Amino acid sequence: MATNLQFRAWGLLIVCLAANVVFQRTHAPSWAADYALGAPPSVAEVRAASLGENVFAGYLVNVYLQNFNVHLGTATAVADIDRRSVVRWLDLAGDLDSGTGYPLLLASRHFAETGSPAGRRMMLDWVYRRFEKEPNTRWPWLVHAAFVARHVLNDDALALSYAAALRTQVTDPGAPAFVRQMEMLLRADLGEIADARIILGELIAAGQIRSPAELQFLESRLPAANFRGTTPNL
Amino acid sequence: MAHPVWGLARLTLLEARRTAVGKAALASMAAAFFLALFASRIVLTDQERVTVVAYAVIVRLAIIFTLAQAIIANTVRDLNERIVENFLALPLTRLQYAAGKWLGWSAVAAVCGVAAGVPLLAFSATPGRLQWTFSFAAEAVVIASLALLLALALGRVITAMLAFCCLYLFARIGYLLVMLSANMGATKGTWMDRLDARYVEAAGYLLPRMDRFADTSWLSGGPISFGPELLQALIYVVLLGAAANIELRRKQF
Repeated sequence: MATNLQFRAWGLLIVCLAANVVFQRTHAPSWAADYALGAPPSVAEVRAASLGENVFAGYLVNVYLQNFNVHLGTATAVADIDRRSVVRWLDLAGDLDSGTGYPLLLASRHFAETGSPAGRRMMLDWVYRRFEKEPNTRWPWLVHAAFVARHVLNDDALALSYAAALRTQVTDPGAPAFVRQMEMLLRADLGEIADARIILGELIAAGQIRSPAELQFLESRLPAANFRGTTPNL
Repeated sequence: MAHPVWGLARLTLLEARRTAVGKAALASMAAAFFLALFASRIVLTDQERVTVVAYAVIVRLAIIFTLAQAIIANTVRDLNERIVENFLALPLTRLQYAAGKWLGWSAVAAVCGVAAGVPLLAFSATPGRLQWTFSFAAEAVVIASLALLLALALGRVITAMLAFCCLYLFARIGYLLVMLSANMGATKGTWMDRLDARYVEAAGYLLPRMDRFADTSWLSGGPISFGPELLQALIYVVLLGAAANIELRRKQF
């Protein structure tokens, strides 16, 4: 009798496990839906969900956006991510924490370097709009945007318009002289590597790159460029 | 001869040491620190800022819930094993018993709060470290008072812990809910919307503004507003003391 009951218990367990496997197989997750970045939650919702920890929530949004292309262990091309959604997520990250340049870095050097020309331009426009709100603190990101417009997007007119904005809108006397001389640098037509070398060197000299990871990331964007011998230890 | 309240406070400190509350708090801090270091490895920029902010956010929750769990579990055990009755058999009033326990747990909470700020000393470029540390210690004392009252009033670990979680989370985001409800229907909408908004607003007024304590933005360059939360802590600790007085008078031991 006891053996019979034990047999039934094991039988029930095996049947339930098999039923669970069948259920999982017939209700497989929809991978296509997970690839879409979609609309972000509102700032108020994120603030409430993070118990008012806006700065931390802002970084979580940035990291989510930065790594969305390797979402759920499956790599998607960054170029395929919808740039209109990206702009809304970047707005969310910027609104949660206005004191960081992380979303500006993602826009100017992560999302603006791949995708369609219209998508890239959308990223650079977003950086420009953010720059206009606080030109004296956000000028490094418009310098990056001008570089990307010139050498990645090959849109000289756009690059020169950004350089002109840098010259006219940055009024901080602490900003290095090269910010106001970006137009001259772009007109000199020195080539991508030389421009990148000058910009990165000047940003380091101005104390604008404080993190080794940021330097490593910016170096990685430059093909065949080698700054190891010229940059100070950070 | 020392006042019995001080003796009870010392016994509570001894109890905290023997139940490894300090070790649990240290483990919480270590976990928060290593998680913050991990977070700093996955970001592209602002590594030091991310480390500090992530540590502050994680250590706050870890310490708060460790303290609450320890206080509630110890107090409920005192009630269940009739240790409270042994104390009350001594020449000690109910309020003196609660005051002794509160003093002991408040000291533990304050020490944990200050200790949580010590790792921030490693980040010399971080502003507002001192203010954050003292503000967090004040928050820990309020939390210890709330957990003690809930444990004495409810007498069950799960019920008291659930009530604590609900109250703490609401106290952290209550101001956001008040703003949301005000925007959504306090001045317009149906009478039901207005009632909802007023209800949320009234609930918000019953709880302390926990979002004002140890604001993480102080550590990331935001404006520092240190001081008002100490007044808030004082008001709310006295309020909880008054509530504990009523509850202890009502309770049958």
